[in-house]
Amino acid sequence: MLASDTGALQQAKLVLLGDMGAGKSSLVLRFVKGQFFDYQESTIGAAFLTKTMPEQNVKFEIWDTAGQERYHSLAPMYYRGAAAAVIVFDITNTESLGKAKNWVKELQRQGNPNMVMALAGNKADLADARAVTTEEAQTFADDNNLFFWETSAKTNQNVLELFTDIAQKLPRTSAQPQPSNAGITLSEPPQQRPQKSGCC
Amino acid sequence: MSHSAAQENGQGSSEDLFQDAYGFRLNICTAQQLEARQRCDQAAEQVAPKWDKVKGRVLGSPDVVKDAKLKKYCRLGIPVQHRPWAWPALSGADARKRKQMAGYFDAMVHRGEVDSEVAHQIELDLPRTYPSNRWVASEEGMDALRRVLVAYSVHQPSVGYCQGMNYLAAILLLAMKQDEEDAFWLLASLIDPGGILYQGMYAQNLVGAQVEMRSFEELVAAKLPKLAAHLRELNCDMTLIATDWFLCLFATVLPSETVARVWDALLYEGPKVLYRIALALLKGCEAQLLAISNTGDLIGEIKDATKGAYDRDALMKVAFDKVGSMPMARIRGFREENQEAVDSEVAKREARAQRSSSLSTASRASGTPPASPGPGHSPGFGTPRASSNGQGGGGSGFRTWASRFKLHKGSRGKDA
Repeated sequence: MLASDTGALQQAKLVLLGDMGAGKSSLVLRFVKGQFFDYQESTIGAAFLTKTMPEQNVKFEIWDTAGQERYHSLAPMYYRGAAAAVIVFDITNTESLGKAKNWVKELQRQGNPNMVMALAGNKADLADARAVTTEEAQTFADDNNLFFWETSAKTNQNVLELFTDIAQKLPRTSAQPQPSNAGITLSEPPQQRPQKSGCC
Repeated sequence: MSHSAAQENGQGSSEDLFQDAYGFRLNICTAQQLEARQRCDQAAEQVAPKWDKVKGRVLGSPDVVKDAKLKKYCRLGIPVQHRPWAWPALSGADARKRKQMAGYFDAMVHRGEVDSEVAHQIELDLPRTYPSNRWVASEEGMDALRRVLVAYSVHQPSVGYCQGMNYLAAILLLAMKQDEEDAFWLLASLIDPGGILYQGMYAQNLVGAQVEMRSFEELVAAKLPKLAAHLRELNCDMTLIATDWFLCLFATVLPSETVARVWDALLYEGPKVLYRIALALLKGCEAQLLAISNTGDLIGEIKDATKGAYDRDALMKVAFDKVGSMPMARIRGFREENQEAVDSEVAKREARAQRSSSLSTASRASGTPPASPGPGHSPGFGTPRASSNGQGGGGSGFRTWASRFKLHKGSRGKDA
């Protein structure tokens, strides 16, 4: 049955990947809590957050990962079975786009085949320092069938748009039997425990 | 923590009431937490005279003094004012320092290359290390942190800089009253080959940390079987729970005074303490965890429990008295098995990455040998990374490290 038929929230695992300092944690914090700090603590391992978008009937379970190359080997743990991925780069840093491209390749090769992928060119507020043109990123996104948004966690530009796009693109019919780690699960009210309000 | 000690630390002010001994904002939510913290502070005051007494004996010995009494004292906690001498003396940091020429730390700082990939990564993390701690976030604090991390990356190029080390260095600086050289040698005594922590913790692919986490997982299965079964059912891998525990030695999850208390024992006894604390943390909220049927909520619950662990006496008591025996032979067995498994997985991954990068035009960082650096490995060329965009960062970093390695051995590199 369709999630929307029962009114049950569709839970979707979402992972953020990208270079160190691209702004993954800042994007998540802006999306989940509406906050922004100039200096966000560097993430070790991964941070977990949730965000419900009632109008989309989706509850995102977000894994925000560490960006340094040597953490790369832990990444499959987080993207395995993810329904969606946001690959973040920093528009002021060409190298970060290169890293983003590598992530896209890895996900195409090893991720869930139905994964919804979005490319986020973050720090769009730093127009003066721009090093990656919109066209270059857009072309890459088009070639790889990714959503592309230029975002700014600082000014809140396109943050909601990015996640809304993903929510709308999530496959809605989960009726077919799927492997247990397919990433989208319908929550089952009888087993559902009272949700904790997000951690403080 | 006494008021005077806070002032000695250079952090004393009217904000003391809201800050802990190391200048972190207190995040106390309940009366029990407040009461527990005060009780622990009082207990620390009471053991202070014992530390006055042992100080002469410990500092007078050329080697680290190892005895049951000191072990017990360390578990009871080293008072904040005694840590600046006790940590370097008891961890072996002082001994390492004595083995090197005088001024070694400064020499390492001066050899740091501003343009290297490592320096860039360190720079990126400086303002992102405890931004809420006034001293760490100050110019002075960031300068000190930069010097310690750069010096370490030069000292141990095979490790370089790994995210997580920034938090270790910051806590060490705070506990050492901002003495950079002591912080540096403590970092070395933790991470260097043959150091306190398991080999390769911060190596490429974090091989050592992965081994530790898998071994811990097996320990949880033995010590907390119900919880282990529950985690398996939820498909909740230990990596999701414990990566930052093992890589930051709890520095990002526990209140700082509790972190320092854990390190009192860790620096003296070794990494088994990490297993004990991790087990104690899980045991402390086991009942709640068993009632949660969703991985995300479970991780949130653990996070709340660690964040609120102000009762450091209670945590240590559970860790050392309530989780039962943990023979080193058993842990060694776990590690050997897991080291093999992790090494072979990493090798497979590297091979796959190499295959795909040889197929694609974009060059990728894949030239790192899978073997984990451990004691006895040659401190080689660290992280030779192909520069992906010709920007020169990775490439020049490689040359720099190579020439520096020669310098380190006493022969000059061409471009030095």
